[in-house]
Amino acid sequence: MQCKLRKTTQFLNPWIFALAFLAACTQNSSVNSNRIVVIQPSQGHCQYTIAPANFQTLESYREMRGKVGRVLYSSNNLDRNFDILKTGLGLKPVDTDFVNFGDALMPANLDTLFAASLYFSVEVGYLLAKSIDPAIDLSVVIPNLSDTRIVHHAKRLSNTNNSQKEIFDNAEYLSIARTGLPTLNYFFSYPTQQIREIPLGLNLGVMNHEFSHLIFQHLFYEPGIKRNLEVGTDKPTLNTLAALDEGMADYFGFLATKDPGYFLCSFPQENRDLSLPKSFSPQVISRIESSSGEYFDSHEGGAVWASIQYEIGQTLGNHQLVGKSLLKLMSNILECPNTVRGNTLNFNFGDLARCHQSILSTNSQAQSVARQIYLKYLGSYGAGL
Amino acid sequence: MRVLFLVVLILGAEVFAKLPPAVPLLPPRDRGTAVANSKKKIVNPKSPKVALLANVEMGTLLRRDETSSDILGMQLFLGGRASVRFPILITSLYMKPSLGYFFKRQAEGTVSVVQQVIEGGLTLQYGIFEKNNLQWLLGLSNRFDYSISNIRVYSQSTSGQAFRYRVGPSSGVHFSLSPELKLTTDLEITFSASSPTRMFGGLTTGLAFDL
Repeated sequence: MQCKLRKTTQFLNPWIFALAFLAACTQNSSVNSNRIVVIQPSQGHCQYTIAPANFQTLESYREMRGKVGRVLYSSNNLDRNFDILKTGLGLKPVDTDFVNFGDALMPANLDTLFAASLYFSVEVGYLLAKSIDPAIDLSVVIPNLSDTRIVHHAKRLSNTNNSQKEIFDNAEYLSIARTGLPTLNYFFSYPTQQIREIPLGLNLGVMNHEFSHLIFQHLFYEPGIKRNLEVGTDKPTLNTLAALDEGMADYFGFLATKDPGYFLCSFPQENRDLSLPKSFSPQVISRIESSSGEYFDSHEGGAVWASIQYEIGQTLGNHQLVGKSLLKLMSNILECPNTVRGNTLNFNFGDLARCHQSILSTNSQAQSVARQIYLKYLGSYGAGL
Repeated sequence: MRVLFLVVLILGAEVFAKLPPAVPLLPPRDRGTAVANSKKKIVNPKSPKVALLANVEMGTLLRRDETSSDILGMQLFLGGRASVRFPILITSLYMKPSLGYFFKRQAEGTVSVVQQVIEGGLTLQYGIFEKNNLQWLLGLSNRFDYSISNIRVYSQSTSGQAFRYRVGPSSGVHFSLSPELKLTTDLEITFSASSPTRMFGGLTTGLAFDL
């Protein structure tokens, strides 16, 4: 019996060593937890690489939480549980799982890939704004930026044709105003249903489009609300604002990816390629100037505005300059004589072009190029430019 | 003549009965009948019988996931295990080394992630119940995973890997279909040793062959 026991122990020894070795391997200390593999755009239209990216603002890779927000999910429909949406409480961190990729971490499953990509997209937006204009640090402009909820596989309802349907194949920025508390910022990445190409949550351009809405919210809407500004009705101000917001977003999505057709990588049929010239045709203008309550697609006018900015940047060979001027424009709409009179905002795209040109006046070449291109595409809005 | 034969027979029996009963006429030997002998196993004392079972099972590896689940909060991997089982120390205590493979594919749009788990296992089980054709075992499972994840978008593809050690209780049921063939089902719950601890489950069923 003693002999048998000894033999068994001898037999088990290699297993115990293997166990200890493998357990040690699971805690690989040489891995840099701020280097995480994500899908990134590479040179060319809809070209991607799967490579490690340096996450500069991440505090916890397990929870995908850092300076620019936290990635969360909800098993409940947020519109049926409005308290969650209103308070931001009740959302849970994504259950992440990683494997090793050299000295970097690599998402082990699809949810983790989404979580890492969503955080990375928002971080790219934050760093992009800071690199374009170092004076704009969004973590200062938005003191609760780290509370931003980046919701993976968001469950919400849309109201279409008097019926409520779950939202799929979409991404969204939403701000929730709270009495006595700072605005709560949300990014939603909705589940994929029909998309056969890049899911929106993994499309860096689309998520940076959404990030631009956050910038516009905090450089224009929030200060405007604080000043108690009113929206006039002499001009199609509300529709113009909505289209401008979309146009700015389309352009910042391009700045993040360097691919003017990034939108088509998810929706190949949409007319959202910034490199294709578009103009404010009488039809587009008529839709912008339609009375409130009528159906209005803000993305149409926005696509025209974005294509104009893309052409200005291409002609100047300096998209950084155009990006900086547009960040300035977001806050200057509240001060520009062309767009605000007294306490009332009143403008169309022609007025915005004039305001933009005044911002570019420090660079005569840029101002001249912008004027020529605005005249080319503004249609009747270009009169008197 | 017939009477004489009967007298000789009776007297003969009397003579044999009077012989000493303990006299060995032949060395001891197996006096069983031919039928009885056929049911007996021939045991070679130099090589004691080892009940070695070869086992092939198909089933699932379940991975606890708080975000998205296939069933009961678990993500479901498909695959199987091949193992051998042999007794150690005592007849009801078994050791069961195994080799398994499980995989799971997830996709949205053109992006997919394939997870593969190549698993080496060592299970120690004790037969706590055995009646008729049924055997129920309880034990402890050790699993050493080599986990590979592959992310693919269009023609681009990248893989990463990790090692993981899991340990936890296991249970097995063996039902004899014939003296050499058993229907087996194994259930286990294991926990990864790395941080954070994650729960895994295993449910496999298959056939075991007496080797």
